[in-house]
Amino acid sequence: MIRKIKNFMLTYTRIQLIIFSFFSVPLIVLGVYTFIIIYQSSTKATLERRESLSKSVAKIVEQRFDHFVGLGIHYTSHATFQKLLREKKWEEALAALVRDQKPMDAGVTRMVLFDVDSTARADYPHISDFDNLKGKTFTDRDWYLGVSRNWEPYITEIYKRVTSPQINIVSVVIPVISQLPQEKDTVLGIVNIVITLDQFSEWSRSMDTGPESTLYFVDQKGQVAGHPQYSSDGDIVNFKSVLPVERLLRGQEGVVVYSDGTKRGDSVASFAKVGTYHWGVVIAQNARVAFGERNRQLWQLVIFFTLLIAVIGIVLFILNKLFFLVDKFRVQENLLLESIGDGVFVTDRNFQILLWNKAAAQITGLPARDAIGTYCGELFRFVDGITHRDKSRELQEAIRLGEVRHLTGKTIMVLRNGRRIPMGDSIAPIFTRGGDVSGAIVVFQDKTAEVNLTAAKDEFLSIAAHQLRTPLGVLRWRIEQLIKTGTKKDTRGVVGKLQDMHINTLSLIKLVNDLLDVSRINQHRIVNQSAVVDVRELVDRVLSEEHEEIGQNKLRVTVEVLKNTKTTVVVDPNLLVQILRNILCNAVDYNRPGGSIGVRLTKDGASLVIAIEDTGIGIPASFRPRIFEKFSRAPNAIKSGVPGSGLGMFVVQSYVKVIGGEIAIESQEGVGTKIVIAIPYGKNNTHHRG
Amino acid sequence: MAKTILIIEDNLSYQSILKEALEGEHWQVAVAGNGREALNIVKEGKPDLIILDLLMPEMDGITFYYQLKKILKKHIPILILTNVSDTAAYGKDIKDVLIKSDVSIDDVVARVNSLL
Repeated sequence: MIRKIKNFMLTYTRIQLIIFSFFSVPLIVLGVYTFIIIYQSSTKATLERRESLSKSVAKIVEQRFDHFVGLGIHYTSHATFQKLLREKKWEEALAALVRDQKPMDAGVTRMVLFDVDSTARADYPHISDFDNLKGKTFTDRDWYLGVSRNWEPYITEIYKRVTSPQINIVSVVIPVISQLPQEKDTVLGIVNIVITLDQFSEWSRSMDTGPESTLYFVDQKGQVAGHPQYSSDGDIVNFKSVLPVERLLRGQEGVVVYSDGTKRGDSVASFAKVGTYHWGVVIAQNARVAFGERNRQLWQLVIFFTLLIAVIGIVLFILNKLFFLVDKFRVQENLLLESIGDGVFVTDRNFQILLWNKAAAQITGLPARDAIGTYCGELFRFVDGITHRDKSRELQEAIRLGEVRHLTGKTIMVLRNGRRIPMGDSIAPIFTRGGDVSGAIVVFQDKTAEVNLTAAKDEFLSIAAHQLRTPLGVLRWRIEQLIKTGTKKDTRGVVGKLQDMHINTLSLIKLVNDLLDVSRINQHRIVNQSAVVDVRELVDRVLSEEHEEIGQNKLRVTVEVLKNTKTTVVVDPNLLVQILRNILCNAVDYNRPGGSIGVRLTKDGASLVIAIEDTGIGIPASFRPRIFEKFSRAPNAIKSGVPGSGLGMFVVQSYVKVIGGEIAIESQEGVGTKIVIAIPYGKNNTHHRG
Repeated sequence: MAKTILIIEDNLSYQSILKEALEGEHWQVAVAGNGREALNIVKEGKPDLIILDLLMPEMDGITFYYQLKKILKKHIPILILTNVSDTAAYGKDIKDVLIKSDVSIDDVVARVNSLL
C-alpha cells in the first residue's frame, strides 16, 4: 500500500511538473521577450534623449557664439569706429566703440583691437601689460590664421592669454569689414572679443543635463572648456583621446557608451557639433544613472514575472496537495472497497459502472477493467430465481426513489455469457451533498454454494423419503392382505407375509438408523466416547449377528489374529461396531454362495489393522471415486437386488475419521473386495467429539 | 382365455404381493425383475397389461417404456406403479401413475381391472 501511494505521488509530482511547465515556460519566454524589448527600446530612448539633449545644448552654445559674433559685427560696422580705424587712430576708435556701443553692458568683458596684419593696437579695459604687446604682430596665432582665411568671424580654440594674469580664454575674432561701398571687402582691422573660460563654466553650470552628468565644451583641438573638474585658469586640458571627443574631432555627432577607466563605471556620452564653429558639446552621464529608468523598469518586469511564476507554483502546489489528499482518500476508499469480501459495485445515475471491486470480479469472472465504464445492462441483469421475472428494476427504483432495496428471495445475476449466479444483494442509493441521488452502490454475495447446499439437502430428503416408501409400501399392502384374508385359511401364507413384513421392518429400521447417522455426521454431533475395546470380541459379535445369512449362503468365515498382536484399542465401541457392521454386512450380503470372508488383525506401529476380505461381487473401478458419497450405490450392487440405501460406506468413512483411523479399499469386480482399516491403539482416556 | 398381466418390479416383496393379488382375480401373471427381462418376455408373448416400476437395476422403467414403443405396434396399456413421486422423473408420455405407498393394494387391483 505504501508503495502504491509512493508511486502515485511520484506520478503526481511528474504531472504537476508538466502542468507547472505548461504555465511557466510560456511565461518565462514572454518575460524574456518583454525584457529584451524593454531593454532595447528603453536603451534606445535613453540614448536618443541624451543625444537630443546634447544637440539642444550645442544649439544654445551656437546661439551664444552667434550672439558674440553678432555683437562684434554690429560694433565694428559702426561708421565712427571705422572712420577712426581708417585714420589709424586705434585707441580713439576702440574708445569710441566702447563709449557709443557700451559693449560691457552686453556682457563683453574685454576687447582687443588689431590691425589687419595682426599687430596689436589697443585694448579695453586697458591692462598695463598690453603696452608691451602694442605694435607686435601675431600672424602665427591660430586665431589670426582662422579669421584671415576667409575674413569671416572666427571663434578661437582655447589658449592662454598673453597678458597677465595668463588665464585661459577663447576669442571671438571679428574682421572689421569696411562699410563704404568704394572700400568693398576691405578689412580695416580685427577685434578680438575675449571670452574667459569662467564663462563656459558658467554656461555649463546653468544648464541642467540630469543627475551625475557632466557638460563640457570642446574646441577644434579637443581642448576642454567648462568642465567642472578642471579649473578655468589651470593648465589647458586636452580630451582628444576621449572617445566622444575623438568622434567630435572626426566631425561626428551621436552618443556612445564607454568606460573612462575610472571606478565610476561606464558613461553615456552624447556629443554634438556647435554649428559651423568647429566646437563641440559633450554631455557625459554615469551609465547607471542614465539607464536608471530602464533598469528600474527591467527590475519591475523581472519581479513581476518571478512573482507570477511563484504564485502559479504555489497555487499548483496547493491544488496538488488538495488533489493528493482527495486522491489519498479515494485510494483509501478504493482499498477499503477492494478489501471487502462481498462483491461491490457502484453505478452512476445512468447505470454506468464506476467501481467494481475485487470480490465482484472474482464472483462474476469479469475483471474491473472490463466492467468499469460499461453499462450494467450490457454486463448482466437480475432475475428472480423462482419466477424468472426481471429484477433489474430494483436498481432503477433505488436510484429513482433514493431508497435502499433488498433483493430478497432467490435473486440471480445472469451474465452475458449466460452464467447464472445466485446471490444475496442490497442496493443503496448514493447521495450527493445536496441530497440528490448520484448513483447506487450494490453489495452482493455469491450464494451458489448456499444454493447448492440447499439443493443437496433437498435431494437428500427426497432420496431418503423415496427409500422409506419402499418398505412402508410393502408393509401397507401386506397388512391390507392380512386384514382382508384373515389368518384362518392359510397359516403358511400368513407366516410368509409376516416374515416379509419383518424383513421390511428391519430394512426400514436400518434405513432410519442410517439417516440418523448421516444427520449426526452432517451436524458434527457424533459422540466419541472412548473405552478399552477388544476388537476381536467386537468382530465376533457382529459376525454372530449375521450367522443366519452366513449359514444360508454357506459362507466360510475366518478370523485371524497375527502373533503378538494386541487386539485391544481405546476407541468408541459404538462407532467401531457401526463400522464393522457395515463392512461385514456388505461382505455377507454381496458374497456369492459358498464364498468366504476373512478377517485379519495385525499390528502396524501404533495402530491395529483390521483387514476384511470377501469373495463378493466387487466394486467396479468406475464407481470407486463415488464409493463414499451419500446414496451412491454401484450398478452391480443395485443389480444384485440386495436392498441398500447407499449410505453405509459414507457412514463408515465418517466414523473412521472420527476415531482417528484410516481406511483403504482394494477391489476387483467379480473377484472380491478387501477393506483395510487402521485404528490407533490410543490412550486410555475419554473425550467427546462434537 | 384369461388375460395376461406383466409385472415389472425388482422388489421381491412387491412382486409377491402383486402376483398374489392379481392371481386372486384370475388374471394370468408374468413377472420380470427389470426392463431387460421384461423386453424378452414381451417378445415371446404380448401381455394385455403391463405394471411397471420405474427405479430398477439393469434397465429402468422409463427406458423400458420407450424401448417397448419402438418394437411394438399394438397398444398395450401400461400402469406405472412406483414410489417416485417426482413427476419430472416420468417421461412426458407417461400419465397413468400410482404411488405404491399412497394406494391400497385393492386400488391397484381395481385400476388393473378397469384397464382390462
